[in-house]
Amino acid sequence: MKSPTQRTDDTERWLSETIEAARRRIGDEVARRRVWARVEGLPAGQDRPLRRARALALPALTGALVAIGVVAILRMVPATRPTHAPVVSKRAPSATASVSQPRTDAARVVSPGASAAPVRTGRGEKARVALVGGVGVELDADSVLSWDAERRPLVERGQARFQVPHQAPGTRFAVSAGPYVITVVGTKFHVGVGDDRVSVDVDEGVVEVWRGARSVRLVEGDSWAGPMRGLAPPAVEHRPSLAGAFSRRTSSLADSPAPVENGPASMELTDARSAIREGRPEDALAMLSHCAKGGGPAAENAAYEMGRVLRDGLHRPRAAVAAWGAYRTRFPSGLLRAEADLSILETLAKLGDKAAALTEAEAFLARYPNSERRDEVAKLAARVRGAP
Amino acid sequence: MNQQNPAESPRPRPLAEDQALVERVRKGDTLAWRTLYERYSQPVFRFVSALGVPLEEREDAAQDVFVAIYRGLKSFRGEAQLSTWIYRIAARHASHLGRRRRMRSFLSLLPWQEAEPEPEPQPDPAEKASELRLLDRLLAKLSPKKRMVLVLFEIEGLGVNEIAQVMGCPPNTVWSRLRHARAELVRAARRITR
Repeated sequence: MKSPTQRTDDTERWLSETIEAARRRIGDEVARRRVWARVEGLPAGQDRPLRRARALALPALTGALVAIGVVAILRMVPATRPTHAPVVSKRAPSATASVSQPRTDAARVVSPGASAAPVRTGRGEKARVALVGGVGVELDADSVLSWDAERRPLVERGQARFQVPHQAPGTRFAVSAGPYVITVVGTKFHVGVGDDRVSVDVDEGVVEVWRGARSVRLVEGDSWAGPMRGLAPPAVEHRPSLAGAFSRRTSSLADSPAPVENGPASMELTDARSAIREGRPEDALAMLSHCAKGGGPAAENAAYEMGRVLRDGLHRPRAAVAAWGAYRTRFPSGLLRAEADLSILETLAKLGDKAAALTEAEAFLARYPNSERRDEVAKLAARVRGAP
Repeated sequence: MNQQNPAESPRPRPLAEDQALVERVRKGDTLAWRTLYERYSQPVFRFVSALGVPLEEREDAAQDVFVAIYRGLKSFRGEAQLSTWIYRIAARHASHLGRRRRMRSFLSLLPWQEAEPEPEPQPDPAEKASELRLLDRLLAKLSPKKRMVLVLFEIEGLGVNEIAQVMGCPPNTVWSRLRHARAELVRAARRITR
């Protein structure tokens, strides 16, 4: 049995060693690359990430406080009305009034008790609707806002601009528009419903447009439009594209067919990562494959991550090696080149392909003479050489 | 643990090199920005991990830190080391996220919450060592300020004067927090290994 002194020494030694290991802790290289893909454009004036982060920070707290107050009130009032019961104020249009900066006008306020009825605006008339949870809706002229069977706000006709505070974890605010459901965590967006199409423009944050099991994810600055009828089935269920035209307002190629842009592509990478965590490697691979067909850092990351999914998720190490090989061919000086080289080397060693692994190890040592992982590779090469 | 007196022996840092780098980034040099990212992204990721930012929030946290760095470079006057300044930004952001997590867990206790439960934190696949996860659990038992001092001193290797700049408190306070944090960490480790 150990004495108390001995035990103390053991504990402190363990702490020292573990802290030393924490100093050497190397994070997920791919995660670092993903972040790089999002921040690399900052010197070129692409400051979207900051605006998104700022936009969500304050509303997270205010939304929570508003929600506490509103829910406390709702608990006291037995309600038979829709979940997102509105308080409506209408105002006449004026030459100076702007939809994005509406005037406060309490001229016609409809009490919550009478709010199950749809909110309609006539020609030249606009309305502001306050929904439970701090959601604000600005209803344009000649529009109708009502509630669907699941008590979600439904834009029946016309134009509506939504401002949604950041939602509590695990909850999402949803709006119906024709056959689509638009879900958000916290954002500002605009929904338009015409006779033959639905359109969504995102001013801040992220929204998802769903139709059945298919969805498209839009980030700040994205515009999307989809038909009311005749939706063509996508090739992949989780493919982030509906039949609608997917465009970026700031792009000069706004009318060209769906290019893979950095913003949506980054979100696609995030979705793919979620799919991996949720045990859906096939879906992840499909998303990564789609993303890799585009350009920029997101495509590079996706091309590399395909190898990881093939090896670790689908247990196809040979296919993984081929995927990383394709990455090297396409991005010979890519940021993840060293990671791809190492991944190929490790996988070949595990497969027992001694000759190929040694060739890779020697090439790595020659290519990266000052790499911090040089020792690791040298040890691996020695192990492979020593293997029977 | 770190036996040296880092207040007297700070790690040598290329001040002029960092200043030149900052100047180039300010002028919109994308290669300089990439160099800055390459130099500091690993410490930022490691730092926010050690401060308890969960895996699923780490990328967003690092992104926000680098956006703040980029924006702040315009007003960076070089009065502190660039690394100290970056740690300060990361520390502020990690503290903010910590407060938000605590608020979320408080809100989740309220009876009106019908939201889905938060998912279990995911272990970092890059961190295979269970010892590191155990260390994270022990660090989580410290108060946020003590944890930050301990992480900056023991893991990030900053000197006490630098930590004082990062945290905006006197060096004596740093020493005091460090002493208490070490004692608490050892006590917590002893309880687990008993």
